[in-house]
Amino acid sequence: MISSPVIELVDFQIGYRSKTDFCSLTSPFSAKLPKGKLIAIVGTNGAGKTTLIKSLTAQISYNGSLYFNGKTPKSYSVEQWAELISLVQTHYQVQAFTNVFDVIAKGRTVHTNWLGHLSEKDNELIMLSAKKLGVDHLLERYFNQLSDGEKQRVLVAMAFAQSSPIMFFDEPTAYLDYPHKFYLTALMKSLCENEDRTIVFSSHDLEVVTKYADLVLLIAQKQIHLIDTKALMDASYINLLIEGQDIPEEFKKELYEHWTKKQ
Amino acid sequence: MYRWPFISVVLIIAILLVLAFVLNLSIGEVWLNPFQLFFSENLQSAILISEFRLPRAIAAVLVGSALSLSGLMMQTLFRNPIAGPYVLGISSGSVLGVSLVILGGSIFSAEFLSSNSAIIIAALVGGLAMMFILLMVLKIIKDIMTLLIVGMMFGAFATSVSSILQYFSPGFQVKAFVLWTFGSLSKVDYPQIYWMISFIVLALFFVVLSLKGLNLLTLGTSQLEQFGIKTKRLHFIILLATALLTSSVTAFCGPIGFIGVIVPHISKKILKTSNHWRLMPVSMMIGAFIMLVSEMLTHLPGSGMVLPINSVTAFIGIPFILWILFKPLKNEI
Repeated sequence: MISSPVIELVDFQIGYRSKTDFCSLTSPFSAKLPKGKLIAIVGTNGAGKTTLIKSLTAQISYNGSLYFNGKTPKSYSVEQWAELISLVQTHYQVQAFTNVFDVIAKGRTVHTNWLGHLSEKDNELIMLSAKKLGVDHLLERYFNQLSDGEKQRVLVAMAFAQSSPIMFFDEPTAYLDYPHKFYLTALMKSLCENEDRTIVFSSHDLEVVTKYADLVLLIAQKQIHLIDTKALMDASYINLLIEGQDIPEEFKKELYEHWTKKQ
Repeated sequence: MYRWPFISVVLIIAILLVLAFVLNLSIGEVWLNPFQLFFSENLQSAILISEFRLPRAIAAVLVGSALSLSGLMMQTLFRNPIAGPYVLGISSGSVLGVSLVILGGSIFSAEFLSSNSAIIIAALVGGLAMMFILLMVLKIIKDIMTLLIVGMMFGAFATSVSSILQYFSPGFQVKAFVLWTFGSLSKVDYPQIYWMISFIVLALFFVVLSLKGLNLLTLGTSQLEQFGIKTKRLHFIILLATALLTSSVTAFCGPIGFIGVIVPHISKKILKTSNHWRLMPVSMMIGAFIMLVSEMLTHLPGSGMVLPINSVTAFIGIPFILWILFKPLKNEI
């Protein structure tokens, strides 16, 4: 089951379900997300990046069909689901006095017994992912005392500790400093390449995306496009991102020129 | 920041708890020497201890630990520092039950209903009925915070019904009802203690079942499925456990305020952790300790007068709650 994680979307639409109908944010979209790839979700504010991640992780309803390894999310048990996917969202109100070790350990929840006892292997994996994310010196610190960037790395370590073949990250690089932005994305990339995991992350950092991502899910103008990362450099796609934003026309032009000159 | 080792914290609190327990047996209308409590030749004081003070002290331990545990779970579930065991209106259900029996009984001239056991049964039925209503509500709502609002509304409803009943009741019945709401540990006898213990043991089974989920809730996300925990099932178990704890204690001793709110904070401050495997036993012990101390303070020295226990817990509790509100744990470290 876990050997070939692939996400398949058929006539997939994100949006919000009301009592009677579905208010869609995008037009129908079909695609197959191959395994072992780093896939970036790119879009402007309010385009639906977070909604897409929530839909893909079956937290909210969507239109169309979604398959993980050929099975719908609903057909997985809660335990199987947690063994298949892990997810880091943007907002966590962590309770006071929760230390970093405990936060990372929460990723192991599904692998522990009903009492939540951490085994040798659990502890090893927690230490390993803490080390990978460079937060192993913070283990005894309280999560709420960390900086936003450190918090983000701890949350990613939590997802790494869960060791699911498919991972979703909502803006993992948002609060990170310049070196860590690149380092974290490179880490995700290496997990995809070496451990055959599939990682979907949303980001505003086009620089990072174009350097590491294999594929890009571009949400623009109520459409989802699955494109090759190289294609994102194309003027047409950048134009898609800039077009339709409520910023002055002259500024759009300036931005467009800035991007094409850079390439 | 220095943190006391867990074992030493438990040991210190355990010693304090034993001291408070023994002292509680000594204090009362008649002072008994704590060093001679169990070796007394005097038959009178032996009866005084075994028939009155021991059940009272045991009740204090049970009430304190049950309410603190219930409050701890409510605070974690609702991520709210001033949540407590009564926040969902379980006690209002009990109050409604008791007011129907005491006050309704007088209106319909069925005074036999005001016996002590009738009151206990009414409170228990009221509290558990409230629990079933909340469990039904839990099935249909999406956001757990809705439960908080529904619970508060039902609580207000129960209070209004009982005030209507009070309005039409004769004075002595109203007094009996008001005295019940003050809370009391001194009416508890051994059969009642066995009942309380059975309820609490049953609840503890659910508490242990929910600990893994409670620890996950400290992450502050309401989506637990991705971690392999069924959110609704967890909420169901937590609600069941807290309602059993709260309604059983309220039925036998009346609604006792503040303990359930302040004790979880004290244990978090002392232990400096959010691990519920540690918070649970320590909260129970501190709750029992504070309840024993509060009970001792209800006895005015030199006279046989006993203050209502609720006024003492509020006397300790209100300054503490104000302190929590104005000094919020150093930005919720």
